[in-house]
Amino acid sequence: MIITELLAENFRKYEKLHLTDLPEKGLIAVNGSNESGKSSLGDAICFALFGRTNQLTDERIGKLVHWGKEEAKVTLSFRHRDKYYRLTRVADTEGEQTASLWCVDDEAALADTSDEVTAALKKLLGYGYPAFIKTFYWSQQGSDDNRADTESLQAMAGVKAYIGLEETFSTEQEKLSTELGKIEKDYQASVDVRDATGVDQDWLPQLVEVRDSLEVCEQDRRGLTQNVNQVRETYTEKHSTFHQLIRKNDRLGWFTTLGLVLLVLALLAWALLTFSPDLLVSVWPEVTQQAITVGRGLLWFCVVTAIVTSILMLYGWNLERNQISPLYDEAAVMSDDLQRSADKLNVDMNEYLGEDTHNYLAQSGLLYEDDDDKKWQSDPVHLEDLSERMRTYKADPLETVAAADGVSMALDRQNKTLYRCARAVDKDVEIERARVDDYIVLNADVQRYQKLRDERINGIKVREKGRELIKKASMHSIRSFNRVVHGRCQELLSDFTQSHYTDLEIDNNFALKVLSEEKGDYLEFEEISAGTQRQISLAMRVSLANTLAESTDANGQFMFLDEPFAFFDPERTAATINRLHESTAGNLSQVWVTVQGMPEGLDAAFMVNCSLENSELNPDS
Amino acid sequence: MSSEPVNMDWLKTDGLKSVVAQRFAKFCADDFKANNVSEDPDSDLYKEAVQLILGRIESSVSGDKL
Repeated sequence: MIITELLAENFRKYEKLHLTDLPEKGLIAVNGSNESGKSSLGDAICFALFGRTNQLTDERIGKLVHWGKEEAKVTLSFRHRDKYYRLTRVADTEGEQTASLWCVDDEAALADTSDEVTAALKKLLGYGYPAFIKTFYWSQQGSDDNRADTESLQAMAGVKAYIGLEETFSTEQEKLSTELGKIEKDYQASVDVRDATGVDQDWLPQLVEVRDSLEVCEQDRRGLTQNVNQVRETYTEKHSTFHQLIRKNDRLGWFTTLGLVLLVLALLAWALLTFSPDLLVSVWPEVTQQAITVGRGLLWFCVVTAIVTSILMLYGWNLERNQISPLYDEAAVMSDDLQRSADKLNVDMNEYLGEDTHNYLAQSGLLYEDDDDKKWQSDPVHLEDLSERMRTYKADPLETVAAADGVSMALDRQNKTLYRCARAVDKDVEIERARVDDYIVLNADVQRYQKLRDERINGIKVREKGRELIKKASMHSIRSFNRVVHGRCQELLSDFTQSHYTDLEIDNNFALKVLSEEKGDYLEFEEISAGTQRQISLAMRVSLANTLAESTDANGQFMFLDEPFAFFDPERTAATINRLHESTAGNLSQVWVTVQGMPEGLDAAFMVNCSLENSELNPDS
Repeated sequence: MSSEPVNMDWLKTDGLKSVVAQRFAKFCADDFKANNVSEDPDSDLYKEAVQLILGRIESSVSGDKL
């Protein structure tokens, strides 16, 4: 990329700056005293290309606008490869930007917004701001800082960021280790306090289980008691009803039998009189027509008897089915209830409560000696017999009521024991729950410290690994840098330093070393004078710029050097100027140089003189 | 030696703005593959360290100048 024209309006100190017919090859010298606006030319180029300068980023770009004006505008015309382009960028005092890129040869707009221009230029030129500022733009950075050139070369080698990060990680590791030591103590203290509570986390669920099993048993006993009481209350009534119905049913059976006998006899008589009257007359001649009439009457008697007998039979069947049979079912239920209750009472307490619950109650002193006795049931065989007789209502109501009373009282007594135990366990659960709550709070502290501890441990490990990676990446960059220097920069370095120094490398500790021809050995970069450091740094920058210009195949590239000779004596300045001049014959064909006073021997292809007073700069006018 | 492709989804390089971060990410991608770090039990630590470094480089205001 070669700049052919630069037009800036209301930019920094300039109301108007217009440089035209710039030479595509050679040195462009920008001369002027301090504050004369030399560096503003570099800023204008940088702003036009990337919307920012070396000092001002996007947010503060409004500072570029000339005092009292609304907006600054820079138009940069340039050639890249074989085509000419025009780039315009405008920024207002709020920092808002607009930009456009126009291909003059094709008469086509390539981009109309600031973002589009950035993307289009990156695609067109092959580099963005970061590469530009590190390669094609040189400012008199940190001239009062002795380490500026060292850091500049470390940045060129791509290790400056690593050095800073390695140091940061190392510091952070120490800080994390210190914190970890303190957290470890707090963590151990919190563990001790938590463990001092003696809470067994499994115990509360077991206790709740004991309480629940007591409540289940209690509810079961309560249900059984209700059933037994029901037996006691209803058996007598059912017993009486049952026997009344049985008697009624017996009477119906008797009448039904009588009806059937009469029916049979009447039928026989009717059949004799109807079908064999001759037989009757032969035996009994006096039988007359009257007897035959009587026979016919017997038929009606049979019919009536059959109807009545059928009704009686139906009534009896209905009685049996709908009244007596349900009573048998109820008797079976009552019998089962009584028997089941008695069976439950005969089970040992440790069986129906479970061994754990029983043991807990026994160990806690909640069971009394008589809690598990079975004196209520002195004759289990008798109850079994009674229960069997109850099924057919043969058991005497008084006997049944007495047995039900006995079972009910025993169940009631068990219930009272269970209730007493359940309430006592309730209290134990409450106490244990409070202890567990305390434990949870203390355990939260332990977990918090544990988390902090784990974070610190992980942080230390990550930084250790990070330092290891940084070291590896640094070695990789250093090897690449040293290879490039050995391969491509030695001649340039020798030319810039009048053959005093011919090689440069970075060692594994990031220290820069230069090969002194006089001493035949590598010297620490910071041992040599500030002027020589600047020469070497400049040589490396020109070398890298050449390399990048070559790789982008741009057919010419500009470079902007802002006061590169600041620390140089006349001899060094002359040597550097010569070398820069020679460079313009290659890929780095257009080199802008700002100077304070024209050095001797500077053969510039284009001269720009800046002055403190002028706010307009137009060399042609 | 396994010929299966190494999953590098964890290393997002598209959003990296600074040249240093891009260069470091490329170095790590090559190193990760070359040393079979994915089979290392500490591979998560490796990834975490890489992300931390990239984050630090990116968050550095003057990252591009580093």
